[in-house]
Amino acid sequence: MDNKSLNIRFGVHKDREVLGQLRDSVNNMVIPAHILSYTPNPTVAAINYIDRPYFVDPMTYIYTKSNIESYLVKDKKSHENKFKPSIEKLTDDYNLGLFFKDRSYAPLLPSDFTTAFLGSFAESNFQLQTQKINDQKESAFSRYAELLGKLGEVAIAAKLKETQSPQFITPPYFQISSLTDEWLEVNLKIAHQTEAISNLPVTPIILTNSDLLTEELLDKYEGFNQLLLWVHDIDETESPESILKQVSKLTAYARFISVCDKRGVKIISLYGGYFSAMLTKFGLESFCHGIVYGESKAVAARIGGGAPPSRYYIKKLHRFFSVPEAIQLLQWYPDLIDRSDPRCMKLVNGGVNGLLEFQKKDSLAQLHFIYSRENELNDLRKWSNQDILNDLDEIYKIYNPLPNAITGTSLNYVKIWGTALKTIIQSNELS
Amino acid sequence: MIKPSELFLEDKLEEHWQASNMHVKRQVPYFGKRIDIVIFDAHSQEIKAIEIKVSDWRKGLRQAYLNKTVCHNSYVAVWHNHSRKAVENSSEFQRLGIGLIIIDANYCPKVVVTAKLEETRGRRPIFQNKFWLAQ
Repeated sequence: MDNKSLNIRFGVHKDREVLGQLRDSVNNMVIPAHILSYTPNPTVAAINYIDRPYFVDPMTYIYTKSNIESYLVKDKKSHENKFKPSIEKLTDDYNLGLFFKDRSYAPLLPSDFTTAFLGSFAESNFQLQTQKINDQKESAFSRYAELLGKLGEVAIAAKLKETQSPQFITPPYFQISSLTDEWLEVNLKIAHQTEAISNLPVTPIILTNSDLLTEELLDKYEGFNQLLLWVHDIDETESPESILKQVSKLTAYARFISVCDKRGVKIISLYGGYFSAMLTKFGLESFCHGIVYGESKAVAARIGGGAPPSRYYIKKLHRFFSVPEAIQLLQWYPDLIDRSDPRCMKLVNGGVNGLLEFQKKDSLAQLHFIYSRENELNDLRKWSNQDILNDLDEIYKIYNPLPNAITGTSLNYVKIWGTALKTIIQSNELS
Repeated sequence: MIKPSELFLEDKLEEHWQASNMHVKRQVPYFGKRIDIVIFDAHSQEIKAIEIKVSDWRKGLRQAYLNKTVCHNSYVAVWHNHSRKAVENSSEFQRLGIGLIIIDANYCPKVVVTAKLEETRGRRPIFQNKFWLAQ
């Protein structure tokens, strides 16, 4: 199977067994930096067990005004602010522990980025993404010998010997809201500084809103032939009251991808779902999400908090439903069960009632989703642009509206997707 | 009269059904949602799920419909002061196989629409489902 389009974001350590089963279905792993910092041994073990190329998300956007308070807790003895444990470890790895303590955990500002500060931050980030993993290898392999033993002795010996590197380095990044935002200049400077010290390719992350997805933004990143993109105000399956606004956001996203493709700049979406999957036909290099969550992310969303409940991906509708909703929908519309993939049918034990087992075993929902996503990507590879649009039209025609007794979910999102894609298709045909 | 809270109604209904020698569980987790009350009638061997609403019977109806998978009878229980619209829409309850209970001023449940007994329809009988044994 061609798995180049899909990257999986590593979330919790217990997912590693499932991710190991999904080796052939995914391209890269995305490792959040705070997970690497806080739990280096199991993270290094997981990276080696899953045995896919990887890159690190530096997570540095959390240090700014709109986010930092979400990651502070009160010390039980002193009652003073301090970072949550995982963020504290990450901050130490960035050599910024004392820096934040001395300023009472006030957020970072663009003015903090003197030449010395910027240089140190870039260097620490580079070391975290390269040296940390190699430094922890022996310890990780020793502690997780049983897990890694499944790879076989020859593979283990080879891995211990080799120097591991991410696919590329991702510089520290901060949210930008306009072309005159001071954080844009910080992002660019630190990206260039990272390039100067790195022996690996550098892929900057752009964290912004859909209004800013313009050629002028792309011009600012001239010289970088690959970018990671996180458009924080897009939730692809949203069906808001203002349909026009959602159409506008998705069209801007699609148009930006198309422009980047024409200019030879590869874009990887840091969070994406089926709309992003469709955009791989229009120039998107690849996209990322978690093993059952993470198709979108608002910048203010907190990290941590434990695993959310299982949910079921209905491939024909290209979205998730809660398991109770899915059970009733599949009974109402039996053809919504995807019978084409024996792996998926095995996971649901051949029928709807099998979904009840999802409550006890997270791996069932996880595997089912990734297999479904893989099947979607395979369909998209075979389909013409018209086939893609026809699929969306059919979904709306046959299933809209979904029974109100079962769900309040609207299928307007497929209409929105179709409208956004038609704009790009027509624009491509004219150019 | 002060509008009771759903929690208060839940307390009262639990007391009522326990006094009738039913096995009662509250806030039973079901995939990220919680079923307000689940009753196991040892005599009939039937499991009933009840969603309690002070007034929002439509929301209760959807919740109760989702609960049908894991019980024999699924009900919505509505506080009597806000039950008129629910009663006017009894046909909707019947169509969906959901029972309607009115909680009277003495906090006693009165069944006005009997829930449809969920048939196995070739599926494994629900009471054998390990999901419920684990509860």
